[in-house]
Amino acid sequence: MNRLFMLALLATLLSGCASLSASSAWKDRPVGELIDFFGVPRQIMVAPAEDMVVLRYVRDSSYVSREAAGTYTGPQSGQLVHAEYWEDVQHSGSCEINVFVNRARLVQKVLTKGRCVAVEMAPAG
Amino acid sequence: MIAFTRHLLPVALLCSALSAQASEVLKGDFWVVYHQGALGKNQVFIADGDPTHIVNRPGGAKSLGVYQLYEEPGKPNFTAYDVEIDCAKNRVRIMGAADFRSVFNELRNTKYSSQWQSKPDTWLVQSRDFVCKPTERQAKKMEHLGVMSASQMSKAGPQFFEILNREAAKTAIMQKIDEGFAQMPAK
Repeated sequence: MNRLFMLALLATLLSGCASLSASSAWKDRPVGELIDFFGVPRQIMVAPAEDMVVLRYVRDSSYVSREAAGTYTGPQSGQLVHAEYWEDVQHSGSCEINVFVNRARLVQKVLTKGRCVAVEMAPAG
Repeated sequence: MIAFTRHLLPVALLCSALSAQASEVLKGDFWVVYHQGALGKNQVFIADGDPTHIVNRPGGAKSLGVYQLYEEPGKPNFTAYDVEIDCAKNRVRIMGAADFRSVFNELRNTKYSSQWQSKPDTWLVQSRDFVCKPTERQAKKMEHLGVMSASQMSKAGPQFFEILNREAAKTAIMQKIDEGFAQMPAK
């Protein structure tokens, strides 16, 4: 139970890190540059409370991991053997990126939700 | 014979580029002189600005090779035009046109009017200005692609269309952002 909690906490922290680094990379940059990088958003919404428009992007962050599928211990060809079986397991995941744009068409903040660690948030360099 | 070859320079350029046996491929100095269309239906007009390929014709006119590249499926890969330009009289006409389809790997003559055009299409106006007003090329939003073979130039089309479509999509997104702000009273 504790382990699950720790994993959830770690995921939340990592997601927060993605938000922070994305926000600092894009802060005060023209939204046109962000569109060049991220492409067409899935949704465009308004955030009246903040007087901003929000561009929502969703990235697939599914991944495959190799996991133990089972073991066998017993006789085989006249010998006692111990075998481990592994298989590729597909994990679904997605990363939601919300980009807040002010009236000057400048990016003010980028908030991420979900599995965003492997998602590139800004051009390298 | 020389005159004949020069008359068909756009075709000659292309054929040399397509010929696998060609030991030396003729190259042009290509410029995008105009583009038109919409998402998925863009067309781009590319002129060969190599001074040795812009040939003088009797009467003071000049011949320019222009290629019209299409994005739309079902259209030829491009149409090669021999465009005649008379700078002194500020007029332009088409003296030859051939479609190229890569599936057949051949050029096929296509219909055109060889009359001097009283109301030329924008791409013809741009082609005329390309030759007659070379110092205004940048002001008229013409883009230099560089020196390359005709087959390389034809491959630039899809890249150019990608840029045009990206820009069109970006403009649409910017418009949506404007609409979003219009919905909210300014604080």
